[in-house]
Amino acid sequence: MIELNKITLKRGDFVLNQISFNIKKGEIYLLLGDSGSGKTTILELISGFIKPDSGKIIMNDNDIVRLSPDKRNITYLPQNMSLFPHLSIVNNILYGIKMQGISLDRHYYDMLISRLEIADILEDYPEHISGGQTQRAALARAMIVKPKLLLLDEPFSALHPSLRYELEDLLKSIAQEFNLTILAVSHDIDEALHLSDVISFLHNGEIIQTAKRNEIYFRPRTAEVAKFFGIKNLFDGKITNADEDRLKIETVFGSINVRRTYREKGIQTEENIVWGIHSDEVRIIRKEHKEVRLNRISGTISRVFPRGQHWNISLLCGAAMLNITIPDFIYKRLHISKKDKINIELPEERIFIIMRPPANKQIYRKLKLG
Amino acid sequence: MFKKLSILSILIVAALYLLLFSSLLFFLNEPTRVDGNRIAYSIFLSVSTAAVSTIFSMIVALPSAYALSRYNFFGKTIVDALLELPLVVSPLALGAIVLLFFDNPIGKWLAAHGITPIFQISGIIVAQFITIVGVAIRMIKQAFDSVPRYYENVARSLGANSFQSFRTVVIPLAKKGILASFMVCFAKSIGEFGATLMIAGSMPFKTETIPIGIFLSLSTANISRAVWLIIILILIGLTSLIASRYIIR
Repeated sequence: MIELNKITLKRGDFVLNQISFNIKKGEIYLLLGDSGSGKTTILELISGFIKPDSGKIIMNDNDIVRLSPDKRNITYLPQNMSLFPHLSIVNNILYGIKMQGISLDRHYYDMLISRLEIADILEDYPEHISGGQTQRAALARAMIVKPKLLLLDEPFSALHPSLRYELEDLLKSIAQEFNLTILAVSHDIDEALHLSDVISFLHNGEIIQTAKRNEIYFRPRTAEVAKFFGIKNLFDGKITNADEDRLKIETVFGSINVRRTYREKGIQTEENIVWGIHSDEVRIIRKEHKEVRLNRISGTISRVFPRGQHWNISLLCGAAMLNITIPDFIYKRLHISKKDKINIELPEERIFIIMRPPANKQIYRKLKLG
Repeated sequence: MFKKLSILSILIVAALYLLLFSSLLFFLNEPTRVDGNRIAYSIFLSVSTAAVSTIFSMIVALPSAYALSRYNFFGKTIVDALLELPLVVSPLALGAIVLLFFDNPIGKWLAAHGITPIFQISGIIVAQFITIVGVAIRMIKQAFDSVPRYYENVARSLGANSFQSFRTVVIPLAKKGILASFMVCFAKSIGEFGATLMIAGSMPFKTETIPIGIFLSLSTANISRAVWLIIILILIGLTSLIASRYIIR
């Protein structure tokens, strides 16, 4: 549907470097990254507000790089939704229709108004409606012109979490219903995982990893991505055995087994890698459980502290520290406290491997020591 | 303590102005030598030329201010500084520059083809225009600066071309600032003296605006006429300024 092909842009010290990705029709694609990573700049490039130094933006087989924003049929919604304050909600919604001089599809309009539940506020002005209603009205305004692509810049980041989830669900169902193609940007992991089908992780103007949402979360390709998802359990390792479906790694905790996926296809014995696991994927083995498990490790609890509905546990295993997160109800059942000795299991299918480019060495060392 | 001092200082300034204005009342008892028709002509001339020059300055200032607010272009800093010149250079000097311009070969050629504002009513408009256009651009630029760019981006992405987004989004959102600029420029035009004197001269029933009328009345010791003209000038100016305050609010 839309394809970015090696888009490069230099503005002062900031560089967008060879950005390429492809969004399919009906897909919700999300660019995830910290502030200043270049997310909004990519939206502005696709909208046509800025021109790239080089590269192509292909939409339906045509390069649209030189096309002005009003000719692209790509609707852009900035972070605050930007309803025009001098126009009533109905005039905001009909703005695009009037500017393009196209006739209003009354059936589609009625369907949108009813689906977004904004019939009661049509005569109001933006300053008199709530945050949620603003988002709904802005969505109606963007959709009324039937755009080929809808661009959302941090769409719900300013809203209360409960309202945010409600609107994310609404957006997902509307996108499916109307076969909308959406490119959203966000720095919020929850929003990204809840909203999107495919995620590209952007760091310092470069796409580091593009994958379906579960894959990027459970199998980050680099330390930057892992760090962004809050993964603290990153350790050095060396491959000691590489079977067709399983890898054996020598680690600071001893030898561990890892389920091999397509990503580790080219991996060789004796290769130095970094491996990791989400803290909520580490399983605590109850004392009465005697069954022999793979990747069983013993350690002493050095710190336990609550975090919302979860508990974070720091487990000292020899010289290394492993972070574990468990839900509150499990913590209450386990009756564990500081200085207790416990056994844990690292599920082999939940361990991910990061190939080790020399440039990232520093980051890994820092993470391991931390 | 500082709060009291700061309020005291502004009250002293206000009292000073009131004292000056009220002193005019002493001269209203002077033997009346007021020619009603001549005063009416001055008021009409001042208001009509000020309206024309303010409209002209708005026509020029709207696109110019937008360019300064939104675009980067070669020489922008110099252009920006040039616009402030009328604020720091005496209007008399500005008027003299126009006068001298029509004494150079280009000016002489223009004059030979009937295009000259010297000692004409059009000279009053030129004088007012050159003293207010910089102010108009600066005030409207500030109004445009206060309109966030994302409104235009949204408008463009919804299918508005750049002029449509300017007309339907930027102008309405900057409306208050533009109207305030209009009122201030109008008041400033009515009070313009130095450049008008240089370019249009001081001919009764021809180029005698209210400020020129005050100048001529004082030079002929017709104090009561000067006082009435000053009061009229103050009333027009104050009304414009108060109106602009209300518009901005």
